[in-house]
Parts: sequence; structure tokens; C-alpha cells
Amino acid sequence: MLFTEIIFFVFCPLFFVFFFATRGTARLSVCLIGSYIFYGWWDWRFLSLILFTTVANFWFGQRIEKADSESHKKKYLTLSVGTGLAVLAYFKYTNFFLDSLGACVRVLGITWKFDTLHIILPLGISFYTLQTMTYTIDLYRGQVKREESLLRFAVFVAFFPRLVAGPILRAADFLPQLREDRPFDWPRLITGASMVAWGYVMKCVVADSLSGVSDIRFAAPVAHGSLSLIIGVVFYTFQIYADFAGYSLIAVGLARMLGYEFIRNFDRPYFSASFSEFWRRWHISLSSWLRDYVYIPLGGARKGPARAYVNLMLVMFLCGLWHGAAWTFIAWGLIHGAYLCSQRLLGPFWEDLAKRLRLQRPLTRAALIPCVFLLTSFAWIFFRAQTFGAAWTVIRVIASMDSFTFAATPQQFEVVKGLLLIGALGAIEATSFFVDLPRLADRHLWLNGVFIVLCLITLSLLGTFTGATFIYAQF
Amino acid sequence: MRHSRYFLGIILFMAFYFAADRVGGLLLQDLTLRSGIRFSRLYSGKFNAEILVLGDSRGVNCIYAPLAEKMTGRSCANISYNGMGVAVAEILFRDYLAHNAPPKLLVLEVTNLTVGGALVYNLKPYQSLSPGLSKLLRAENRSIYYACQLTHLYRFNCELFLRALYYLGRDDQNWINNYVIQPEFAKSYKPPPAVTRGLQETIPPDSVEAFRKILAQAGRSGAVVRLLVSPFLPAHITGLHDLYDKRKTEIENLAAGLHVWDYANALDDIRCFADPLHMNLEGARLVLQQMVADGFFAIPASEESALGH
Repeated sequence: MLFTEIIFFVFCPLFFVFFFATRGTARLSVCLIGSYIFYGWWDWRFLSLILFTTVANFWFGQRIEKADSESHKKKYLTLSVGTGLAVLAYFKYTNFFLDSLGACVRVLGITWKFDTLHIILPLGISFYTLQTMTYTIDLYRGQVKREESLLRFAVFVAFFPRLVAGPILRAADFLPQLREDRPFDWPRLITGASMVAWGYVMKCVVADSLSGVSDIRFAAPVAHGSLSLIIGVVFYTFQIYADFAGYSLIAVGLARMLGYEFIRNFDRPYFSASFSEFWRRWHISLSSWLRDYVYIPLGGARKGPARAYVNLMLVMFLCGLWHGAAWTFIAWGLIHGAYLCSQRLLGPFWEDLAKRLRLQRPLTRAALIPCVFLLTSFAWIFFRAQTFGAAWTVIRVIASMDSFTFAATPQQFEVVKGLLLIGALGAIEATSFFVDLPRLADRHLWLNGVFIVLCLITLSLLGTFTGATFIYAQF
Repeated sequence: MRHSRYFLGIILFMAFYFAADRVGGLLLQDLTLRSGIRFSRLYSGKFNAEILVLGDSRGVNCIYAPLAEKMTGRSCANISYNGMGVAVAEILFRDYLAHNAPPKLLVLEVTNLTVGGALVYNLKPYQSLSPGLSKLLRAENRSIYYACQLTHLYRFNCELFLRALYYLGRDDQNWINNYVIQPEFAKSYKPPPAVTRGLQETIPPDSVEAFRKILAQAGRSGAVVRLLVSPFLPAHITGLHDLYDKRKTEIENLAAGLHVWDYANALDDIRCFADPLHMNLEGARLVLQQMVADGFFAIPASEESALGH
């Protein structure tokens, strides 16, 4: 079940009624049953995989805590992480590995044929796998207490608002929240509902309107002129943001309505003045996961500059691979790795130059934000294109500056609508740098009512209700 | 007490939403009808053209009304629209006759006979003015139909409404593709399998019925009917000639002997096309010249005198 499906609007109120009508273990049971219904609606067979992941990690957690020596602890941690990665590797990467292996041996002149395996990618597997890893790793590090209740741990793994596409929660953040009964609270319900409403606007109004323009251009780039493809790339840049940030907002808002606090997953990323800032604002739960569980354990920047560059590239390689089983995703990750390395290399020179020229900070930010945005948009070409050939066609046509006129741009009305939506989204996000909108919403509850009505009007007038899936739900 | 305060607040905000929705719906309806877009003019009875063109996007980009008027000396209205299937065309023609004087010549671009009724979603702003559109919308998609009843603003949630806003205070009859197909794309183009499949399938019975209804209504209103196949990019038609010829014969049989004016191969210069299925202004100009020369727009004197314009 996805947040955009009609059935969800039947499921959700029923879930809320049962949730607030129960307490303690009964409430946790409601959470678990509800979450499994939510997931099973897509494909009930894969509930067994969630159950396996839950039971295995719960057991590994017990073993880690009860282990009498460091080496035993490490052994169980390795088994836990290895199991998670093995499940992920099988379901997500088998065909990719076989394809890549086939290509390698063909280079050596060996003919090797194999049939692509028909493996269905379980919904949300990349998210709940990383989330369960936080439990065993943090338990090993002594940063979280062992969870004694399998029921509570199962809810931690499968809690429906974040099950399909995150945010990736930390055991230390979410498990303690599940240990106490959250009372029904009107202000939380109302502020959560306005987050949900804004999430739907981002998804159904912004993302899905932009997708109609970008999809056509990426499907047949050779049929478009330069300006048309630039529009396609820029629209995709905002589409993926609005799509994923919209999903995250709905998840965070639903959790808030139920009394739980989730990590904020996006923080106006396209206003970043550097790539490190971009990754502090984009998919925060993943970037912080990679920082805390991969980059820092690898040594981060503590083992010298050369090692820092290698670590950055490695982390971004994994980041790309996590997103999808294709070399284009890896290229996207490596491009971002190269951006981060370049920033690390050139950053001190730039700061020195800005000091010498006595450039004020707002001015340097204003100059850097468009640069970061353009380079980020460039990287999205590889993320969106199905193949390197298609990505190259997009880049080649854009660089040719051929047919650089709006008259030669198809879907002109959708383009204008999309530009207006991007402008509106940008204006709202820019305003939020000067006005603390969440605080304002907390202080004046009636403002939430007005905001929700405005969101409903926007959805009625501009929403796209094609049942389009969330981009990140495919990862 | 505390709960009742919040419930009252929710009820008030819901009432506020519904009031805004209904008032907004009325205002947008009024705004739409003030537009110079073809359907607003149709439902406001502002057409009364001698030549009327019906078709999908190929109809839009084939008979360029301002040029057709200049070349034929007759008033022309093109009410074709992207994705217009014959079922929608039949309703629009019926509504045209109800609101405007009948045309002398009805041009049907007939490559839309296998196009479905999806355009009706885009025509939501006019559904309250047309029982036919309302009925078709209900048949095509009940969810959308009921959503339109629930929220009136949703009726204006479509590309056509944006277009209507653009044409506020101006005529949309000069709408045509104004760009040239990418040469690299034209060179490498091959018709997608869906095109071949579509041509192999027979015309659906509801389209046959709608097509016959259009011909019958045209006959009753005294309009002469011309069936037209507008030009394709040569690369599109190559290899599909037999299938197109078969389809042409099928249409001629349905139309009880009416001749199909086939211009599918009329243009071979890729600069006349915006994409494989659609001409641009230059293509429209050239094909119109040819059509005038062929007597496509000629109306028999007996028919001419029967209708007063």
C-alpha cells in the first residue's frame, strides 16, 4: 500500500481509531498488525522476509549482549550485518552482479550466457535493512540497550509510516519512544496533519506535475532540443526532491499524529552552498547513516588527506549502489564523491580568495548556491537515465545548444505550470529561512487549519492523481 | 469541553473549504467561458463557421484555420484537440450543433478512430454544460466523475483549463506546432510496435457507432462531410502502407461509400513536421495548398444553397 492509493485513506483512519483505543501491548499489536497489513497489501509473501529480518536481528541482539567476550560480540555483529547484506544482495543485486560479471568475461573473449533471474525487489528492503543494522551495531557499541520485547522490536522494524521509503530511524531514537504509551494530543495531531497535507502537495502537485514533463524527455532524449532537455533535467531535479521529501513529510507527519517524533529527512537541500552542506540537507537519515556507520569507522578524515579522499569516494560509491543496482546509480554516487573531494581540495583556496577579496558571506553563498544546484542537476542525469548511452545523449544534446527556443519545446503549458510550481516551492522554502514556520504552526494552531484548507484547495486544483509510485519506494 | 472546541474548529474549517470550493468553482467556470479557447467559444455559441474540423492532434496540426480561411474564403473553425477520440468528437459535434449554426463542410481527420475517450478528463471544465460529456466521464472513470461532484475546483484541474487561461481575451485558432522535428531523430525514427499493433486491431464498436452518429448528424444538419488522412513523416508510413490502406478501406465501408482523402504521403520534407505524427505550420501551409487545388473544400452548389450563413 502506498500513501497515494485510495485504500490508504480507508486504512489510515481505521488504524488511528484502533491505535488510540488501545494501550501498552495491545497498542503495539495494533501497530504491528496494521504495519503488516500495510506492507502485505503490496505482496503478502514478502512479509516472511520482514519476519525473518526481525527475528534474526532480535536474536543477534540477544547474542551480542550476552556474549562473554569481545570476539564473540564481534562474531554476532558480523553475522547480523552479513545476514542483512546477504538478503539485500540477493534480492537487489543478483542480476546486477551477474550482468556485470558477464560483461567482464565477455571482455576477456569468453562466451558466457545466463538468463536474468526473475527476482522481485521487496518494497522498502533497502530501508528496513539499514534500520535493523543500526540496532545491532549500536548495541555492539553500547549506545543502545537490548530490546527485550520481540513485539516492540518488530514494530521498530515494520512501523508503517516509514516502512517503504524511510526515514531510516536509529534504534536509539525510536525504540525508547515505543516503550511508552503516547497519549492522544490535539496539537500534535493538528501539526502532524499539516505536515501530511504539505507532503501530499509536494508529491501530488509538484512532483507528479513535473514528472509528466521530465519522463517524456528522458524516454526519448534524441527527439528533443537543447532547451527542452535542460527543462527536463531541471524538472527532474525538483521532481525527485518533491517526491521524496513529500513522502518523508507524510511519514513524519503521520508519526507525529500518533505521538512519535521522526528525524527530519530533508532541509531545503537546493539552498546548499557546498556539497557537504547538500548532503547534510538531502536524505539526512541516509547521509548521517553512511557517515556514522561507514565513513567514520573507515577512519573518516583522521588518517590523512589521501585516505579521506578514498573514504569519501568509497562512501559515495556505496551510496550510489544503495540507490539502485545499475552502473548509472554508481556513476551518480561517484560524481558526488568527486564533488566532495574537489570541495575538500579547493575549499581552502576559495575561502582564502573570498577573504582577500573581502567578499561577504551572504554574497559568496548567493554565488555558490546556483553552482551547487547546477552540478547537482548534472549528476541527476545519470541517476534518471536508464543507460549511460541515454545519459550521454542528454548531455550531448544539451551541449549542442540546438533548438534553444521555447517554441520548439513540447508541452508548453505543462512546462509553464511546472516552472510556476518550482517558483512557488522555492519561494516558500526561501521564506522559511527568515520565518520559523514550524514554530509559528506550534504556537498558533488555527494557522494549521488555514494551511490544511489551502493545501486541500491546491490539491483539488493542481493535484495529479495517477497513482504514481514514489521514486524512492523502488529502491 | 476541550475536545468539543477542536471538533468545532474542524467543522468550521471543513465548511470554509467547501465554501471556497463552490465559490472558486463558479468563478473559474465564468473565467473559462470568457476564454477564446475553442471549447469555450463552442459552448458560448461564438463559432458559426462554414468549415468545421474535428480530429485529434493530427487534426489540430493539419487544418490551420486562419490559413484555410484565407485560401478558401470561407470561415473555418478547428475544434480538434490532442487525444480526441471519436466518442468525444461525436459529443462535441452534437453540442456544436446545439449552440452554433451548422457548418457547410465537416472535415473529419479519421486517424483518431482507435483513440479512446480519455480526452473527456481534460474536458472536465465543460461537463456541467454538456450532459453528453458528463455521461461519458461517468462511463470512462467513475472516480473522476464523483471527485468532480465532490469538489468543483477539481473540474478545473486539467491542462485544458491552463490553456483556457492562456487564451483569455484571444483566439486559439492560431494554435499549431511551430517547430521542426530534430533531424537526428527523424533519420533514426522507426514506428513503435504499438502503432503497428493499433493498425492491426479493428476499430472498436463504440467508435464505429460514434462515427456513424457523426455522419448521421452531419447529414441531418445538411453538412457535406470530408474524410481526411493528414500527412505522416515518411519514415512513419514506410512499411505500414498496407495496414493504412486496409484501415482506409475499412473506414470507407463504414462511411457508406464516402471517399477518404488520403494525404498520408503528401509531404516528404522533414522540415514540414514537428514529430512523426504531426506537421508544423510549414507542413500545414503546403498541404492546405494541395487540398485547395484538389477541390477538397469545394461544396456542391445544391448543398451551398440549402444552408444560409
